[in-house]
Amino acid sequence: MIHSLRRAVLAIVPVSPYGSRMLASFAVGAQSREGVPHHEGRLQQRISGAGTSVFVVPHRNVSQYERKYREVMNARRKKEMFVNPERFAKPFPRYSFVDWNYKSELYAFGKRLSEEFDDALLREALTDQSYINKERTKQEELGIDTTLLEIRNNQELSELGAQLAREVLSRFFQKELPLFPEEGHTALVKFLTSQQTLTEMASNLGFRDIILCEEYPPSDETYTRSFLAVIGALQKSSGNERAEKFVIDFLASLLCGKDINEIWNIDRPWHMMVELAKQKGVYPVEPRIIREAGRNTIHAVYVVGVYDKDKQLIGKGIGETLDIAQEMAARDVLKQFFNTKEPMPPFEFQSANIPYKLVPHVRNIHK
Amino acid sequence: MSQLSLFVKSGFVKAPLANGIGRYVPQCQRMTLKFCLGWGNSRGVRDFIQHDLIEFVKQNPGTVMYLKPRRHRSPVLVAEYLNGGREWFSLNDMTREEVYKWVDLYRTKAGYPDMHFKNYQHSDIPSIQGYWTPFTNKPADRNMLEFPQNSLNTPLNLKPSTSEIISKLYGEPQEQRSSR
Amino acid sequence: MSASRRVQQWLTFTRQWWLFDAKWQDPFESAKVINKHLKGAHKPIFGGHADCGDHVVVINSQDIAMRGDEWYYRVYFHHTGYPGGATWTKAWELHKKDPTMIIWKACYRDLEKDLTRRGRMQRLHIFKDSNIPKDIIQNITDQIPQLRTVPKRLKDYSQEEIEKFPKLFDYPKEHVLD
Repeated sequence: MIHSLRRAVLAIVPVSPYGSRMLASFAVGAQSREGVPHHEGRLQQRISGAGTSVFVVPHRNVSQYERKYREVMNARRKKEMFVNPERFAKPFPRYSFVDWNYKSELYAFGKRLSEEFDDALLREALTDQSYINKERTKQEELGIDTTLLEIRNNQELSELGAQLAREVLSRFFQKELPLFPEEGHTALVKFLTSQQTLTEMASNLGFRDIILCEEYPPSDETYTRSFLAVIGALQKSSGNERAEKFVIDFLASLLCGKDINEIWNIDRPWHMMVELAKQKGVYPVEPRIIREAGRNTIHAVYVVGVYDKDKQLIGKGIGETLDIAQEMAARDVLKQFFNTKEPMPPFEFQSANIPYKLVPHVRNIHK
Repeated sequence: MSQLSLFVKSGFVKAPLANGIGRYVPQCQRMTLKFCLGWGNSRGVRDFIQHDLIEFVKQNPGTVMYLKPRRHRSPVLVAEYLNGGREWFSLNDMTREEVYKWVDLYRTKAGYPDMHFKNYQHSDIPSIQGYWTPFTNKPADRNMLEFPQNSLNTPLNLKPSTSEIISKLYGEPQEQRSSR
Repeated sequence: MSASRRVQQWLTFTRQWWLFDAKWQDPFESAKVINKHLKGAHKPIFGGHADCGDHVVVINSQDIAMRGDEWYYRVYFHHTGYPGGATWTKAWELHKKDPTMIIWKACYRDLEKDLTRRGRMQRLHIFKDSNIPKDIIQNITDQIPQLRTVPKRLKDYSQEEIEKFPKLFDYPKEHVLD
């Protein structure tokens, strides 16, 4: 390696306009490491006399003139990273790109969801208060009268949408899960209108780029508020019926693949099961061990069956202890009572289904 | 295709947000076609824009199409998806038909990175008849028995012994024998 | 994972306890059946990625049977590692020293020679007779059927049963019965 370095240095010398002394001393250091003694003067003489180089220029990945250019650019970038770290830490907002047309984006947003939105209402639904504040500050700085700024934020629409979503969903569950108790319906609605669910929904429907707010990417609160406001805007634009279909199609379908018995947490399942059994007239119920294995090991397993007053098996539960197995058995009986045992039949979406016209793949474009 | 690739991830098919159960939402939200007005390697893209783009956009109103002419660079398709995914694809030296097919493919993708599918189907509840357990099809008396049980020692597929065969062939009721 | 899925998985992968009566059984044939249960190969979930082996409790290991003169010509080799440390122990000698050893060695030899072997052998419990500790009896869920029936000796039959059995031939008059 040292040998090749020396060759490189010597080859540069004829084209280098400055620093022949420095290069020479470097070459001396390199050579003395090889154990070949050299006098500095002698070497300098040789270099200065080398007007016509006979050395072959070795292969390099980066050419010398490009290397200098890169050094400069790297230094600039490092300086910029130090001075303005936010520019490198944050993702660039999509709307700051050249190819961006907000009007087209809003049009496509409605078409994508198969809905007709009033343009002004949709803009209002996607406008956060932070955006208005930012615009106002900007105009004040420019000396423009801010009282003329008439932008509405999405607070009102989101309240409207939230109320509508809760109503529609609870009505939907009363229809689809008639045996499920009122508390369960409330828990399901609460889950579907929670910030976590709505954030996931909004961020997967392309809200990220079209919400008008100060921060980027938008916070969870902004996502939630905007999604609910879009429901409100839809109700004002296209009427109640379309908004209800929208809520059911987008929110209720999220329960597909989820166990709804896990969403509603029952504190005392055995107690609740006994109460319900009394109402249904199958009391007294009795738990019994129907299977067990490895009783004296840490891998013990029990299967507990619950029998009603006619000694019929109405549910069974599994557990590593008898307590857990009995609790799971009670949960199983409750699923029977509520008609929510897995696998559940799917909900009726057909009445509310709006098929998007799916264009098939192109086979042959020659007409 | 090997599942052990370091670069191509493997996984199961999935759809964002239970797409298609309530209603179907096309996942490609915008596409940008970058091309050169002069160079020949953008010829196919220019032809596509001239002849097919309007019809394509009318058929797919949910996808915003941006055209970005730029001088002396090769043509490129950038597709962006609702889940934040972004796909970059070179359309260099492609004919009009090829461009149409590739644009159409990127229109129908979901925005997840390309992966090797372990299975072309996926189900959260793979078994309708219920999961297998060690107690499946096991006689119900096993929980009540006291072990060891001699009755359970009988070998499977036990053939009759010679003594049993002889008894069956030549054995007679006791009365007949005593009368003889 | 939801609670019901969790307990479902617990039940599917739970370890069963099998009882095997080694009385009058060939230890080497029995080892194959026992190992199938130790590995979990009798389960539909069996595979390279599933740790689904069961426990097997072997009783009456002192009553195992071998064919012909096998007790005399089967030899177990051991070397202490020191010069002159080799020993050759005949099967009857080993069985006399420890009546659980032959079936243990038969199972150990039949298992795959990999890292799973020691773990699987830990789930094999051998008793020389049918006196098993109570805490082990309580674990047992099922019994492995024997490979052969235990033969019945003549003295085990009652006089009535002997007389009832069909007479196939008569001894000649000159034949002396003691």
